[in-house]
Amino acid sequence: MRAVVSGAAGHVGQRVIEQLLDLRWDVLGIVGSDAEATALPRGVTGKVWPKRAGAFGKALDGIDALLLCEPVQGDADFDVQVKRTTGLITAAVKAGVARIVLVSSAHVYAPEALARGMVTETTPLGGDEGGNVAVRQAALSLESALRDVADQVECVVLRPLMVIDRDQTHLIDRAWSVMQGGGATWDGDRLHPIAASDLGDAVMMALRTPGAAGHAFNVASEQAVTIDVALQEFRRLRLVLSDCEQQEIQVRPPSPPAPPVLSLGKAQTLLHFRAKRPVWGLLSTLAQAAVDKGRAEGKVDARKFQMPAALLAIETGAKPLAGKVAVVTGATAGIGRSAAVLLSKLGAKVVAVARSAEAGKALMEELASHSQTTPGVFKQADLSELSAVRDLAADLCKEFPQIDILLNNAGAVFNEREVTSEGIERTLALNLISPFYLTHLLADPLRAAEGEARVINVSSEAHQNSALDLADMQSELSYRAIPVYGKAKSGLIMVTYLFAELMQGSNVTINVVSPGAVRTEIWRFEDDQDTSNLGPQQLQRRNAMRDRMRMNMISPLESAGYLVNLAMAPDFAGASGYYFDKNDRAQSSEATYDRPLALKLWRYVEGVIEQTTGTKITGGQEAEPA
Amino acid sequence: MKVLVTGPSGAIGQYVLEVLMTTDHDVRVFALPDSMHRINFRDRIEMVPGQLSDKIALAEAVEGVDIVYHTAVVSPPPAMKPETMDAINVEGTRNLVNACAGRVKRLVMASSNNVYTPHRSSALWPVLDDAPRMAHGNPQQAALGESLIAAEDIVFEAAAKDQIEYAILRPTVVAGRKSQFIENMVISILQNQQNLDMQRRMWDMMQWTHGSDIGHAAMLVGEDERARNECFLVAGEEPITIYDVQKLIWDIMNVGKTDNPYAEIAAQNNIGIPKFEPRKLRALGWRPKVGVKQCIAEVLGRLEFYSSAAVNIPAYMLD
Repeated sequence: MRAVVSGAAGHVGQRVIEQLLDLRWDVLGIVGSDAEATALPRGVTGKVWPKRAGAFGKALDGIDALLLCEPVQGDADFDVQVKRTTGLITAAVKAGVARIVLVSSAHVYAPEALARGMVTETTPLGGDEGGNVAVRQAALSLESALRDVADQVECVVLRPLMVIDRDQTHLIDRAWSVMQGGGATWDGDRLHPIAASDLGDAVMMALRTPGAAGHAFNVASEQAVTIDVALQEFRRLRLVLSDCEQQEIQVRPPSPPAPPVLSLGKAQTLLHFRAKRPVWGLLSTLAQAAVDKGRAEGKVDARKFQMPAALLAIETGAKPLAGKVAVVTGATAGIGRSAAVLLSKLGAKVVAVARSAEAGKALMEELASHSQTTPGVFKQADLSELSAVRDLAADLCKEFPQIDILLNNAGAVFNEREVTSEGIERTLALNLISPFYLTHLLADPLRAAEGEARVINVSSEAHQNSALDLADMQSELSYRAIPVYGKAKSGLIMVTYLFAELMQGSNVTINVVSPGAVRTEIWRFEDDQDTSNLGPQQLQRRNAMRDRMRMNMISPLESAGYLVNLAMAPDFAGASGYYFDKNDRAQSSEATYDRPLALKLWRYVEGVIEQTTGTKITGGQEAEPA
Repeated sequence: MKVLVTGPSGAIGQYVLEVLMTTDHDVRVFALPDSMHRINFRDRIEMVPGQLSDKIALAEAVEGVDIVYHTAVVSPPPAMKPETMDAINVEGTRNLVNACAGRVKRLVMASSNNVYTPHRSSALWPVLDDAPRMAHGNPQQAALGESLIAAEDIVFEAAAKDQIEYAILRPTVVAGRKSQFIENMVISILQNQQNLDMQRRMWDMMQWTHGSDIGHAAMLVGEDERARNECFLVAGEEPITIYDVQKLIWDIMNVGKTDNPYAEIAAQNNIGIPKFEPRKLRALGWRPKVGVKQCIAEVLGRLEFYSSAAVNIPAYMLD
């Protein structure tokens, strides 16, 4: 079977062509330009309207159906449309077409009848005054052209009042003006539109329903809306469709039903046609197109996904940290490893510090082999030993005159009290003294960085209930893993605040972040607990509870995303001396804001460092907060 | 041409298999040994038992294969350990990709629209095929998103090194024979007709796609040159909320009546514009054929079958 479809590039034509192709019809699409012809789907032959109306040559040979899918509306030049369509009808009849379906317009009815509503197909046509005269004249001419050939072919006429799709600029402009507070510029007091896709379906039904021949049908969506309601809806949709942050489903307020303009009974009974898209969806379609127009004009905020800058840069393949150096401690496992990979994907040269040479080698291999990452450098050091911190820092200062990011991430919880070879309790040494010392020692390369250098200290929610106890810093009196860990993290927060004061006016910013509850090896101390006294059921219950707890923790990758975002996102430029819960500014525990205590802690830590390494940190006024 | 389907009894895999049966390809499936009895068309296909962690079985499975349809990924039933998801989605895909590298022409992978960055606000619609990705949601949902993103990244990486070419499908809610999500939704609506509000926020706007439409999409992207190294959003045409589901259930169960009591509330909750626009698939000529109403009717039919007296389940099985 062979069909000719006019308006093949329009939404109605596209819908018709899709279905014809599904039915294995041979389709010739008539379009306005060569560009439109090439854009037609595969399997459709395109033909541009001939210069002389009806001069189609042999193109129409053997056609069975002619589907005229150009709605009569909008800013089209109706004279041209009528002339060329009439020519096409004549040519098609000559070529022996069996059925012609014409998309006309409901504006053929007398305007008074349209104003009254419930217009049936038997309503008188015409009238010279009022209503949309140009459309009425054009549609009447098309219908009369069809009537002239009605004795030779089967003809079906469809009469929509207003066809809506995303390309109807004249409708979109009106919607946009309403959204900006303008009034209605529509005729009548009601809208009774139809979606282009539904009209396409109606055309196909008109083509395939044998009993439809010789009839005209009103087609529209099931409901109409009054102009007032439509205006309210457009204004509501402007807000709904431009706010990128709202999360709720927006429920449309109820409105009184409007009686339909067109009576749809004939299409329902004879064609079995019911429009699928409700009128509200059509208003939304127009509103969406109108908001897009507003965006193009700069009057509506741009579409913006709520996404951290770091992750967006990775997604788009941008390398904002290219040429920068990022030092990450504890970089071979958990949050640190993910952070190292993310920083490296952002283009930074990652200096990974960790204890395990083997894990370090694996990480370096990953960074070197992956196409998106930047090769890094691994430094082996056990940061709970202060001498190791000193040697590491000396090494780094020599190798990297500029350091842009320092991520003091290394941390651990120890189930039993351990003492380092230097005689410091290990939790304290690793979680507080070591980052303090390292930051001090790397101050010069950080200051030398071009632009802002950011130091991020990683704390923990565990600090909340564990206030610092200067009397027992080494936890010699009592040792419980989590509170001791929390105390050290409290201390880290306090020295971070002092550091920020110290660095004020320089290019170095320092912040402390709680990464959230993260399922990492740091929870491994749980496994180390003695379970020999638990029976099988108790053990199973314990494991189930632990699994459930882990399932409600976030992943190292997500957490690392927050850290890396803090370390590079423009949103945080210049921010220093803050506590962040993930990426939100927050309050740390009240005790951490005790400045006199913080100063005492500062001196205590300095003292420990001086005792163990012989390094005197305080070199005068500028290196110690007053 | 020889093709391999992993996960051939799954929500997507079984439909890929079904559509493959209409082609003249030689089909081989890679399936867990204890799922082999659930695979259809067993008389017409070759089966390799194994799991994705088994590199020897994988090597055997991809031997001589031109296209691999990788649908053996998990989406979580409530309470799946993130480690399990990683083991299957990430490490499993890694092993498969390694086995395919340099041997298989194209890898078609089923991912999910869950990988896209949060897009609940209608101001961000329509979401397109190449929207940025970010795992999100509660920790379990985020873990799924992360595992799928990591799996996709493994595929991208292999393609960047010219080891394979890929086409990734990112379907939205999958309807069909193995859609727990839709089945649960329909059941909960039937059980609690008057109180959908608590469920609404979770489910939001949906565009279901039937498994058979996804199967057809897989065929298209598996062989079309234009689909090489592209990602495809797969979404049905009808944007719906849970209220529309309720309305359609009523329509199906009250054939011929028009006074649907849920029609108004459904219309009020539905903004009527699509959330997802699968532009790339449409450009390849893909059109979803199964509508939402049919998806629901399918579920209702199944529920009725299982609850009907026509099923004679032996007494010993009911204990």
